[in-house]
Amino acid sequence: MGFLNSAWLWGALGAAGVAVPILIHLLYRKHKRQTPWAAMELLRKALVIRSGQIKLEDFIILCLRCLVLALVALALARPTLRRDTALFAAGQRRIGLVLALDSSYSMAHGQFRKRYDRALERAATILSTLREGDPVTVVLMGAHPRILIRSTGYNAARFARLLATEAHVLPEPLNLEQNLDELERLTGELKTPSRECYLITDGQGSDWNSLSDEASATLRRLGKAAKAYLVPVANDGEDNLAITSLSFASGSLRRNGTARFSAEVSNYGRHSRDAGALIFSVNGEAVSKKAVGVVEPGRALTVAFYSSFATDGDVRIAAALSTDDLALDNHRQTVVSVRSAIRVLSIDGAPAAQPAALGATFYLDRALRGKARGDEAPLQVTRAEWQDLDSEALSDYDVIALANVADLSEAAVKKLDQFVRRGGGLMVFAGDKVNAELYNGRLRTATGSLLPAVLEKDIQAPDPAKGWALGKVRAGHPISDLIGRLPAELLDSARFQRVCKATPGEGGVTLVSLAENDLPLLLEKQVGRGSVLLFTCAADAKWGNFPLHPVYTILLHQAVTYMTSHPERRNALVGQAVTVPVNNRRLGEVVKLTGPGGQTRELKVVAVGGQPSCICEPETNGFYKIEMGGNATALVAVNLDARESDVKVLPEPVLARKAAAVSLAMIGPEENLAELVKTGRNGFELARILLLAALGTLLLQSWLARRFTHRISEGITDVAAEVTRGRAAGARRAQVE
Amino acid sequence: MQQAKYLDPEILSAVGTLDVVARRVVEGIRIGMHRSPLRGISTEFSAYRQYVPGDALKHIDWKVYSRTNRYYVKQYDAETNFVANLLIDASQSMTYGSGKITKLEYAKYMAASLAYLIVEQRDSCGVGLFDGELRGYVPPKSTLSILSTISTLMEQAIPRPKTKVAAVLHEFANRMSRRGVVMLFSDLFDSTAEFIKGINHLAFRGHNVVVFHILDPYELTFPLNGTWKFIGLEEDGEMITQPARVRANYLAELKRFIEEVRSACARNQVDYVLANTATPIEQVISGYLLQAAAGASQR
Repeated sequence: MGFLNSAWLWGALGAAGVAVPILIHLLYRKHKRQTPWAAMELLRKALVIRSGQIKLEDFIILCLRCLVLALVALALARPTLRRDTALFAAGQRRIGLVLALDSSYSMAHGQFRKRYDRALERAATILSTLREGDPVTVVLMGAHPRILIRSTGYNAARFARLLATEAHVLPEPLNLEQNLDELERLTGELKTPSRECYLITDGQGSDWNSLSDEASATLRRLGKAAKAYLVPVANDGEDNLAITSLSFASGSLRRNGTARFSAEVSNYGRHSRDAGALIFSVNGEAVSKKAVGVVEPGRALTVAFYSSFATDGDVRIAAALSTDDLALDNHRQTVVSVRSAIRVLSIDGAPAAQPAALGATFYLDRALRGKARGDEAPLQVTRAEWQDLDSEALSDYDVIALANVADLSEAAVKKLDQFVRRGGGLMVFAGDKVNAELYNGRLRTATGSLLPAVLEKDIQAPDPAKGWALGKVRAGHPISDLIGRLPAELLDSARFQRVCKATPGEGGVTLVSLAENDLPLLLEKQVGRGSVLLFTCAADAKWGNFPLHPVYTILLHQAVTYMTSHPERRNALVGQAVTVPVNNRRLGEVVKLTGPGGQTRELKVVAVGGQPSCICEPETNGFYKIEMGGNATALVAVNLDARESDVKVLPEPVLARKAAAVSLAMIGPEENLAELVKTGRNGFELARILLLAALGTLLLQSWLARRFTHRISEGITDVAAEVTRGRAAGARRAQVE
Repeated sequence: MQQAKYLDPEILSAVGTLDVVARRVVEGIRIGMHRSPLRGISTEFSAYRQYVPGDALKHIDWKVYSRTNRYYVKQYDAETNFVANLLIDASQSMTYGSGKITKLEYAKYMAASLAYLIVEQRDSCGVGLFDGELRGYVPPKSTLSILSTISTLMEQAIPRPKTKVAAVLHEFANRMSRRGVVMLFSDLFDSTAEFIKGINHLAFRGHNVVVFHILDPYELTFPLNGTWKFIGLEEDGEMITQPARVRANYLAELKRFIEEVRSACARNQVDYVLANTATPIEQVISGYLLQAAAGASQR
């Protein structure tokens, strides 16, 4: 026997309730009235006959009253009996059911029939085994659970309509942990003797092969709280090609500039597949079609395309793959922000006597500007000496480069901090004038250090002639990725004789390090909406040949593009929040967000890092447009999480073993679901029968109490009248005689 | 004023209309039934009755025959002087009263009313108060002044426990040399067997006995509900019970008790009147007198 409500609580209340009639009985006995009485002898005779009977009757009435309260308390605790208990036939069979549909986008896979259609079919079969009124909860499982209906009485027509209209595939991967926690809670909510939880899924290997400890523990608890079933659905195969990334690779994101984009096509299937062609489009117009070729199973091919930008502003870049069994992941998009011009302020800490001297700013100027000159140059570099920093209006620049600057005033540091936090880029180069201790102390504000690393003393390569070479690069960053793609011979020719030793600090990330000793060469830190790049080498040729090397130019251009465009900031996955700065709006105002399907909604401008911004939480993939007033717009590209593209499922026996290990019963795609569900059911609630028993007992005790205490109504009520009548009758008889 | 307390004018006005009936009762009913030895002191014409064979020829009124040519017999009511003794049970049990009036007070009023009636028709009336023994006695007198004496006696009565009706009846049977009327006012909560012996004794001595069995309405109907503690008035302990649960048995016992007393009275030709203290006194007295008159006319 189990209880749906707290047995302790209702047991205690029941005991208190049972005590009430006993107390009343005792108090009633104690609180007696008294009267003098003359006819004691008559009373004594009456009492001798009845006293034993009265005690028995009192005891019966008291027991019945206690029983009524005990039964009510027991009914409120809602006891349940299992099917094999003798009393099951008397109980009321009710089933509470939680139906969890895996709605991750892998469920949209299918050549002839989609996995999701089969899942809905299984769901309908399970629901058909219920009786009208049984409480049902339907949950769509995606990155987080969506409750379609919660603990609502089953009605065949209503639930059929619900599944047909509300249940759909979500453009999200499956996050089992989050969903299972919710399922456990929802199952616990069901107040029925028998609870069932069905997880209808495609049994993807990526989800079920290696369940986390947390998910396993939740499933075990779920298995104890309810009869939990894993219901895998059949599939039409496991082949799937997907575009798993599309990103800015390198180049110039400036007006009249050209940038390289790369798309990655992965084969998640078990067979080699010709991926067909990849179509790239810019701002909705197809601009390039590239043959991908054959992709081996489990491998990915990268396809690149170049795009030039005649105008500035946000540009939509999209790639589309030929349709396969899962269409959702055959598209990918990205947004880049193309600038009209980039202004760089180059501060030289050790200016040479003459401008022509080969100082740090000279190298920076040459590397960044190249041969372009004049106002029309896309990259404009302004050279200044370190003393001028205090008087410069930093808001006129996009990037500031500090090269071998010995000292910075507090006002200058404050200005730099504000500049970076508002989205500017700061490049800091080491050099012989840089005082590590002074930098560590001075470039620190109330909100933390501006530098991504703690600087130490500069160190010399053991063999100055040979120096150190470029080494490990961090994957997944536009700057380091570009370095990683360059030929090894090219990279190897860049040599560093001296660098400033640095240890990554809070928020600092090493992007490039030296080959021989892993010393960081380039580090990055995000500060506010901007970023700081720290080069531990010098910007001039005193500490090595790097400023003379082509990689220097490539790296600086990529860094400047990265810091001014932040291409990754306009890209998000479905469900991820994207923060877009809205500089021309005040806090509390609203901006209009237009989704991929043309649907619009308003977003409130809030402060993020002190800057007015709007936060967009996209629910589907595609381009989102934020209208900020006037002609100002910002684009955001939202893509699917590529993890879900691996649609391979676990073989049935393996899935069954995995399910059994976490107390889940599995019903295979070929098994008779309805029959197995019905067979597995048990549990009957006794509340109704207990309430009926309580009512019956109450009526019985009322009848008995009335019978016991009102016998007088059946006998004589007025002895005087009786005697008088008897006398009159006697008189009449005498008269007749 | 004392007199006024007992002799409620309302009661008397009600009873007074039955004055003639009362006179016939006290003089004729019992006594006539025994061919009263008191006859001859005075006779008074009562009524004419048509002659029936067997009537003495000397009673035919020939004057009437001459006028009507029919035989009528003259009837005379014997007017007698008799002695009535009213015995009032003043024991503790008589002090019980569920309403405003106790059984003892009821008995006192009833006895006073009857005494008034008796004295008013120039008969003698005495009053005795008793509990375990005779506590006070006013010898019979035929003047209304006795009423104040009776009132004083009644006022001074102090109720004591333990009724012994039988002993008092025996005492009276022995004390009353001349046959008369004995009226007993009591709840009779004493040994019934002893009481029966007492009235036997009185009846044997030729006295006319009337028993007014006075009971409270609560004693007759036992209407109490809930749990009650009953404290015996005659040193007979205490008892806790739920009256509703024993009512049927109690009433059955009560009925048995009353029937036993009543049948014993009937056997000894003693008039038995059950008086409920909730019933107006004049109604009980007039009811009794009417009933007695009806019984007498039948005889």
